[in-house]
Amino acid sequence: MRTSLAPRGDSGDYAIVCQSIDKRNTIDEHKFMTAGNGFSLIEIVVALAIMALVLVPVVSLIQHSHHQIADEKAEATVATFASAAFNKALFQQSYVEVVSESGEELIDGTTIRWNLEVAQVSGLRLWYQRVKYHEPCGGGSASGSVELYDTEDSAPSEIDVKYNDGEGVLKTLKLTITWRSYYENFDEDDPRKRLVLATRKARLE
Amino acid sequence: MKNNYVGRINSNLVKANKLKLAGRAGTPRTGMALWVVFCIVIVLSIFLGAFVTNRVEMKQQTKRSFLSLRGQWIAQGAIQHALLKFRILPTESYDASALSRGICPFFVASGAMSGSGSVEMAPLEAFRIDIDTAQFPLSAEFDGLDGYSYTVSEMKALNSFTKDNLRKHVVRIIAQGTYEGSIAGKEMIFTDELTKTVDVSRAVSGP
Repeated sequence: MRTSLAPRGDSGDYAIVCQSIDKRNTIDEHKFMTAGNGFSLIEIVVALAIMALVLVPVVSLIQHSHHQIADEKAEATVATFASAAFNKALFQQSYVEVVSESGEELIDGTTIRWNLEVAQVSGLRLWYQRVKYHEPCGGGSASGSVELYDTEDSAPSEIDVKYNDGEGVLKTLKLTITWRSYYENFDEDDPRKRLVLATRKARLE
Repeated sequence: MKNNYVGRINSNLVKANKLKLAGRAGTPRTGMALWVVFCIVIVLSIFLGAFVTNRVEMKQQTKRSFLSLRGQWIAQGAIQHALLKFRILPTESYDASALSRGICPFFVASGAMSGSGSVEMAPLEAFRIDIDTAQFPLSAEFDGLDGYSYTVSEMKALNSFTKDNLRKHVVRIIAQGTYEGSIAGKEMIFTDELTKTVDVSRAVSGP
């Protein structure tokens, strides 16, 4: 049975028409399905074209983002590695133990090539100002009560002969790290895959 | 067989039924696929935009962390340089610290100490001034370190006290490490600051 509504005259009344399905109505129903309920070929073609236009960059973006995530993971690994390397050199190793070395390591899918270069600071001189001894000593050092010598500078070996052993007292450390993620090859010249850190290590023991 | 029924119906109900039936039966659904696709495209675009923004932000954060790492370790170099001076010049560092607190370095006193010295007399400045890569540049040892520099921006005696026959001055060292260079084609300057507190002490014979 099919039901339809249709205005009946100008009175605002509507007629509800209930019809039993006969052959003629079945044909009408079929016409409705093909003309209005489905999608036309042109609609589908246009819709597919729009979807294709959107999906192509989406797919490429997803692939690109996979690489980017791998890059970021690698960079985080490199940052941790670099900090650990300098932490060891500055706070765990003695002054003489810190020497030039290099290596290659695979950490969490990231291949890291590192090179630690160490060199003594040459021509180092230390500046200071001595206080002239005076009597009687006072609790305060108000202007005029304490005299100072002029600023001097000395090489460490001039201050203490134990520093005259050729080891020096201050070293410059340069750590160069290059890395690659799982999907790429090493490119030593790529500045995006190269981290250079520098610091200094003092002879404190 | 055909039955007809006629009745008065509420006009709102009629409109709703009319729309419903029209949708099922005919022409208003023309172009529906396009609207569906447009909706999908809009939703996808929103997700895409949010995703790209997130990735760009993450990338920037990684760059910043590398810059911070450079600044942090070069500042550590400055701290090492300062500690070296305290190590090699214990007498001078003690005297300088005492004077910057306004205390005569040769005076024996017990308990907390304070003095009336002037800042102009503080030889801690002379002690601090050469801890600078302008004096001893890192590039003197290695190529490629022109953009790396450090300095000690402040060295100040914060407190003085006597404990276990040791007179102590607590000195705060503030070191700045600077990296100046090109990151992804952009010239950048990044400075990190580190603070280290040390104490210098001298044995005293009496209370």
